[in-house]
This record gives sequence, C-alpha cells and structure tokens, in this order.
Amino acid sequence: MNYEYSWRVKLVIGVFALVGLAIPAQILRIQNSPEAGKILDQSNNYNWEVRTLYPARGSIYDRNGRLLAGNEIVYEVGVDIPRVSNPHTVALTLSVTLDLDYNDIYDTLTNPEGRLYLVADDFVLPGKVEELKKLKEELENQPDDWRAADRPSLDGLVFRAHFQRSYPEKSLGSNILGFVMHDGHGYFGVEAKYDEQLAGIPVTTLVPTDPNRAEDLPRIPDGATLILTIDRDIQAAVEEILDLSLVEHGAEAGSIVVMNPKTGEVLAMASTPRFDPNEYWDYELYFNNASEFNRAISLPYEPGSVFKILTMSGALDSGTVTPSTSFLDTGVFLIGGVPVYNWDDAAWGYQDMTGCMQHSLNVCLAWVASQLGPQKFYSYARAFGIGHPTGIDLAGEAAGRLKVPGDGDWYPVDLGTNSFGQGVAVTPIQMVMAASAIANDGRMVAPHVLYGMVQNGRQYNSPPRYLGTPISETTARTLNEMLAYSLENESSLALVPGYRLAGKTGTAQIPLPTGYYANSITNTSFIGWGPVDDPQFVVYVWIERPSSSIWGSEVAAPVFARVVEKLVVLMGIPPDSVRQALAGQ
Amino acid sequence: MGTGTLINRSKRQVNAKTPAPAPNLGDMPLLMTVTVLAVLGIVMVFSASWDFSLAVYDSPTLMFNRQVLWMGLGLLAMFVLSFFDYHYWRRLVVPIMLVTIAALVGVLLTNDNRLGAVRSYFEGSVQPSEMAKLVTIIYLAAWLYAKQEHLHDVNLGLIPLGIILGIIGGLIFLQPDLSATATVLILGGLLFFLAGGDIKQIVFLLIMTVIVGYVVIHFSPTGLQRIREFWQGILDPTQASYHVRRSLEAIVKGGVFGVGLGQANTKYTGLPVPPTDSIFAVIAEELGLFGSLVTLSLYGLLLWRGLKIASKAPDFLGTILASGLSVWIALEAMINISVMVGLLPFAGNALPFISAGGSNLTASLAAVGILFNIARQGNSKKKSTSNPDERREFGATVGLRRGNRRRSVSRTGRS
Repeated sequence: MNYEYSWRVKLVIGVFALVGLAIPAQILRIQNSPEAGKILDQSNNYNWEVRTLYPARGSIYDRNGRLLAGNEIVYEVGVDIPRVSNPHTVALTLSVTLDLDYNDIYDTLTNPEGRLYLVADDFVLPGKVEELKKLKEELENQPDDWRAADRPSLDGLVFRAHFQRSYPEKSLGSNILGFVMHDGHGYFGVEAKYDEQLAGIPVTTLVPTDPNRAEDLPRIPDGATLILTIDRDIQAAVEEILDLSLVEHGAEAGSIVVMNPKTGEVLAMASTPRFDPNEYWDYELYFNNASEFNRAISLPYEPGSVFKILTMSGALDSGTVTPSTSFLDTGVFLIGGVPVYNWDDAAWGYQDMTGCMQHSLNVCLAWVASQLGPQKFYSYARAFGIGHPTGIDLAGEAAGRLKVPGDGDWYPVDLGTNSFGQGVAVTPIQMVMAASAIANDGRMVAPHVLYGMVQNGRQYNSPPRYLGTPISETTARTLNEMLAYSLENESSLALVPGYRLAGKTGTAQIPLPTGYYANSITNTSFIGWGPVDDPQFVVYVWIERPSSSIWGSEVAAPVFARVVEKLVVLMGIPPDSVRQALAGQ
Repeated sequence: MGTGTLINRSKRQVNAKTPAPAPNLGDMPLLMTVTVLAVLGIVMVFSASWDFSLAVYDSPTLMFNRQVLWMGLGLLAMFVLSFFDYHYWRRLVVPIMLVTIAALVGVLLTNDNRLGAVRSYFEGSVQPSEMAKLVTIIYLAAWLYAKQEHLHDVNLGLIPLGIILGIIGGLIFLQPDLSATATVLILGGLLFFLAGGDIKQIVFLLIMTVIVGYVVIHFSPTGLQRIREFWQGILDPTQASYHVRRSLEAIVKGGVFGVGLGQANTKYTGLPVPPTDSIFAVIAEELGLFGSLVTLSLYGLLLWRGLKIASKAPDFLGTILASGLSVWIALEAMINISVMVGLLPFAGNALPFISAGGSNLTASLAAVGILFNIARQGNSKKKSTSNPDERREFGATVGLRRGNRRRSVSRTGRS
C-alpha cells in the first residue's frame, strides 16, 4: 500500500511540477513573443474611452432679460438589475411613486433575460427622486433581520441627473418658442430655427480609464443664449386680449402680431391655441396639424379688405389715382366678365379715394386695380412681399399664395378680387411686413424675433434689415393720412382717445372646399399702426369665424383698440398732444 | 501521559534531552507558507479591488474590509480545526455532506441570480460550492479509507464514487458553475487514484471523462465558446478571448520585476474582475515574472508540505485526507494561473488565499487547519503502526486534552 501510494503521489507531483514549469515558461514566451508588441498596441485602445459631452442648451430671454426658456434638473430612474435584492419592493415603490406598471417591472426584474439595467422612468422631477432616495435610505437602515429573504429593500435603484428644457412662463409665447423633445432637438419656433446655436457644439473627448491619469473634463461652452425682441409683458397682455376676444365674439381661433415698424422687431405674437411646452407630449391634443402651431406665420388665409391698403398704395405710388380722384360707385363693377359687388351690395355714388377706403368699397378698389393694370398691381404686391415668406426667424413659415398672370389658375377677375383681398392667401406676418412700408415712410423692414445672441461671452445683436422701398415716402405719408382720416371719420371702434392711428378693417369670406364662398362664415381682420406721425407699433388682428358679428369693423377693430390701449402704456408712449408739446419745446 | 503506544525510544530520548521542547504547531514551513500567501493576498486584494469596489459598491475599502473580516473568520476556523482530531470527520462527514447537498439545492431554489448564475447566499457573500469542494474531499477521504480494501471491486468502488461525485458535481453544474464541477470531478478522480484505485478502472474513468467532457462542453451554454476562444488564443495570443488578452497584456506590461505594487494599469482599464478571478494578472503586472514565480513557489511549497504531512500521517485516513486537501489547493491555483497565462480554456476558479472572496478563503484556511491537525498527529507519532484504531485513539487524546484545557501535546515526550 505504501509503495502504491508513493509512486502514485510521485506521479501527481510530477504532473504539478510540469504545470508549474509550464507557467513561467509561458510567461516568458508571452513577454518575449513577437505578439507582445501587438498586445501592448491593443492595450492603448483600452486606456481611453470616447465620451461625447453635450453642452447645456442655451437659455432664451425676452428683450428685458426675463427668462422664457431654461433648463432644469430631472432624473432618470433606473434599476441596476444585478444589485436588486427585493424585486417586489422595487416594483411596488416605483408603481406607487411614479405610477408605473407593477407587473412590467416585477417581471423584468425577476426574469431579466440577460439585461443588466432597466430604465424605469425618465424626466422624473427632483421632488419625487428625493422621496425615493429617502425611502431607500430608510430601508437600508432598518434594524430588521438582515437574513430574511423578503426583507424590503430598494437596492439597485439608481438615479441619474440630467437637464431638461423648462419653460417657466408655461404657455406664454409657446407659439414663438416651440419646444424641445426628449431627443434634445427643438421643434417649431425659435427652438427649431436656432436649434444648432441653442444646442451648442457637442465635444467628443477621450477620457482615460485609469483613475490615476484622471484629468478634468474639457470645459465646453454652453449653447448660445438667445435674447428675443418679444416683450414678455406685451406678449402676456396681447394673449390675454386675444383669449378674451375669442370668448366675447364666439370665435374659433385668432392671432395678434405686434411689431415695431421701424426695426422689424416683433414685440408680441399671439396665436391660439397655445399649450404648455413643458408638457409637449400633449401636442396632439391641441393641434390638428403643424400650421396651427403659430397661425401668425404658418397659416395663410384670404385677408379681405385689409389688403386694400396695398392696392391703394400701389395706385397712389404709380400716380394712377390721387386721394381726391373721384369714382362713381354704381354698386357693381364688371371685371374679367364677372361682376363685383360691395359688402352691402349697395351703390355708394360719387366717392373720392379716401371715401373708398373709409367705406371699404370693393367696386371702387376693383376699378382702381383695373386702372392700375395687372402688371403694375402684381409687381407692387410682390414688392410688398406677398406670395413669399418674410424670412422671419421662426420655423415653419408659410409663403401664402399670390396668383399672377401667366399662372394656370389666374383669370382676369382675380385682379378685381385680389384688389380687396380675396383670392389671395397671406399670413398675418406678411401683412405686418407689408404695412411696415406704409408706416415707415416707404421702407419695408424684415420682421424678426431675435434681438441678440450671446455666445462665448459676446453678444451679437441683429440689426434692422430693410427689404427695399415698395412705395415712395410721399405715397406712404399720403396713405397714412387717408387711413387715419378714414378711421376718424368712420368713428371706428379701433380708435383710441389721445392717439392718432391709421388702419383698415378686413372681412373676408372663407372659401369652402367646394370653391364657393360661404356667406355667414368670415375671417375678420384689422391692420393698424400708430401714432401716425411717428409709428411705434404695427398691430395685426385676425379673429377667425366670429359668431357675434361677421364684420371686421365690429369684431377685429375693437380688439385692435384694446391692444393699442395696453401698448401705449407698456411702451410708455405719451398721448400725441403731450408728445408734440414736448417735441415743440 | 502516553498510553503505551510510543515506539521509537531513541527518538524520544533525543527529544527528552532538549530542555524546553518547542510547542507542536504542526508544520512550521506550512504555517509560514500560508502566512506569506495570506499577507500577499490581502495586499493584492486591496491593490486590485479599490477601483472595482468603488465602482460597484460606492466604497473603495468595502471589498478589502470584507476580505479582512473573512480572513479573520478563516484563521479562526483554521485554529479551531487544527485542534479538532481529523478522525472525528469520519463520523461527522455524512451529516455535513447532507447539509452541503441541502445548501446546494437551496441556492438553486432561492434564485439569487448573480452575473447570470445562481451561486450564492446572502447577496453573493456565501458560495456553497466552495464548501462543497472541501466537504467532498473530506467525505471521499473517509469513504476511500473505509473502502480501501474493496476499491478494485467496481460495484463497491467506482459506482458509489460515481454516484457521490455525480450528485455534488451535478448540483454545482446546475448553478451553472462549470469550473467548480470540473474541479470536484478532477479531485474525485485524483483521490481515487491516490487511494489505490484499480488502474484499469482509472483508465476507464479517463475515457469516460473525455466523453462526458465532450458532451458537457457541447451542451453547456458557455463551454463551446470557451474552447473555441482558447484555441484561437493558443494559436495567436492577440486573438484570445478578451479576458485572456487583457491578462496577457498585464503579463507583458509586468516584465521581470513588475511595475510596482499598486501601479498596474490593466486593472483599471477593463481587465475583468481584477480582485477575484483575475488577481494573478494583477500580481504579474505589479510584481512581474519575479512575483509570479514567488506566488507559484508558494503553492509549490504548500503542495510539498501537504504531501509531506500526508506521508508522515499516522494512518491512511490522514494520508489520503492530507493529500486531497493539499492537491485541491494546488489544483485550484494551477487552474487559475494557467487560465490567466492562456494555457487553459477559461475557467472561473479562484486563486486560493489571494482572490477576494470569503467562501474560498475560509474553505482554504479551514483545509489548512485540518492539514495542521494531521501534521501534529504525524509529528507526535512519527512512526506509524499498522493498526489504525490505535492511532485514532491517540489522536483523540490529543484533541481531548485541548478540550480539557490542560497542557497540550508537547508534553508527551516527557511522560
């Protein structure tokens, strides 16, 4: 037996000795093999980890530095599955606190199928995360028997903080701002238009994996900060007026734009419906299609009589008519073989051009257009920017539609209907831009919402941009005078005591899908500016499908007055008499 | 004090002449070897674990602290077992085996899934498969000792052995832990061989092993992939599995004397599980070829002392038990290191005394405790008689003396 054991044990020792010699031999072989260099080369790949750093998205402020869009810290709540000790507690806590499905989580935790990490919820607010963290700590410190298999525990729950876009003013100006989705991209408005600048430049950097070589991550600049031309207070006031007016007039929707006609700075741009971009996932509850997000720029419509200011300015500028040119209104005018009637189907007799504008006579304006001729009429319309996007720095601007001679669907009658704003589709912002030429001595400005951009500690302001002079200074002054006189003579509801204003109402029938116009459904509009001798604001009002009255003079004009009453206060514009007295000193 | 079993008078007389005989500690070289291994282990665990521990447990010292705690527990177990007469294992081993099987079944039922396998109790700190290995060795030693005369009989030797190993190996295989299963089976075969198993049966076993191994590798979810990666790695080290490639990288970086304690780079940059399975790669990088040779030599010393104790054991039970325990530790170490240098396909064996992990450390230290006990009894009775029962009686006396809180064995020589 002893002999047996000793030879057997010697054999075992021999095997171990062989392995024991093979190991250092292999170490030497590896260290001196030609592959050693390759192995070291490979190792360089492991020393660094590629990491992409995303800058914090730039904030958006109004012209007075009030925050419209910023960032807030939210949390991703995840479960590190291998570290979970009690799936029941984790699933129950998450289902109660975060309103998640208990069974989903429990099943994933107990049967992970190779998954190591579960994203339970994202964009969780800090309050809830604090609650969860506190609960987790309490469970960790409980004095229970630690061996109990079903000891409640939130082990494995992890929280990862990151930024989320936040809009502290909720729905205020949401149609201008747009929103940022979970993918980090901006949609609509400023967020989409300036997405690249706001997002900043992501930096891809190599991070050493060896903690001994750790170094600071490169400091990357945040995305550009935007300062808008919007005035938060004016925006809020205008939105309030718009919302009230819609209720008051039983209208479906509307839009109000306020712009400085001298610089093109948009001071306010209200549109309905609005929604809270913090909860952008409700988008579909509010909007049927993208053009409704901001009616002021995305939804072209037939504006009606407000378009007459462009027809008239063209006729005056070309010398076709003068304010005192007389016209006999017989109540009907035949153009292209089609009769055109007035809004009340009445004949208004002898009228001068001011009277035509004051009474908004379609027959008169169709005659004016026919006198002007299609070529000049459409070249003026084009000069005013009709049919082209204004280039405003908001995403999703529509071009509208201006049919011109030569287009397949243009007929001679269109010259007549276009003269009073039917058969032509424009957006409110296009009308505002066109009106800026009249309010600003013939110089048309490009509308914009970006006041300036702060990037790398420098501020870049956007200067006013002029888009030519569609009409002369004299024409502009003449038309201003005509429009101001018309309002005064008409005792228009648009008037505001103490301020001389120029403006024009508009009532447009809405084309039905059949191609005919409905009689009782209208778009009511008003365009106006003031004070006439030194215009500080252009206001465009569009109230869609009002039910209290179909007339722009009864629906849109008083809304304009209400806006101006607020504007003069918020902008600090003294009444004309006071201002002129001061200037005269 | 002796009970009339003392034989070698001349030796006794020499002992009697020494004025103050050294206390019988068992085997001094073994104690020193284990001490050095434990110290090396604890140092390397800290070096290899702080980053890992920080990442996984949010505390750089948590794994180290646990390891120190387990080492304390293991040393206690070692101390107690060194006074526990190994002959008592014969009576205790059946209930302990049942408890072990229950624990193995239990771990499958509690379903504490960790890294895709069910191997542990209490959040990963207790792996019953380590205990199972130790218990299997003790059980097999006792069983082989009892069946010594009948080992050539297939029905009394090979088949029961197969059943025992099948149950333990099968339960571990179900976790699934392929490496631990293989370790248990190899150990069983080695013990059978050392205990004097019939050579024809052993050849048959080897053939069976090859067949079963082939089947297991084909049906184990990770087996085939490991083998394929292993072959690629042998042909071209740069094509080895990721784990082995990173380990080879550490070895290359280490050079002859290493980059210095705590200076390794691979452990931070993606060497998988540096504190546990891959700790030899950390040693090779930080202490170089030199450190690797020292580590290997320590296991060599341990095996040498263990087999020395086995040959000096007072009876065949001691011999087979001591051989089993020392071969087990050496085998685990050889498998772990061979994997790390790319000589074996990937296996998840721990490096005894060094790898972080309480179960392995405690089981290894407990095994050393049993070795010490065998050594003490061997020391006390250098010359063996052919009557095992007498020896057992003597051993029992030693154990009981300690239990009676009276003078220890060292006084035997004087009485």
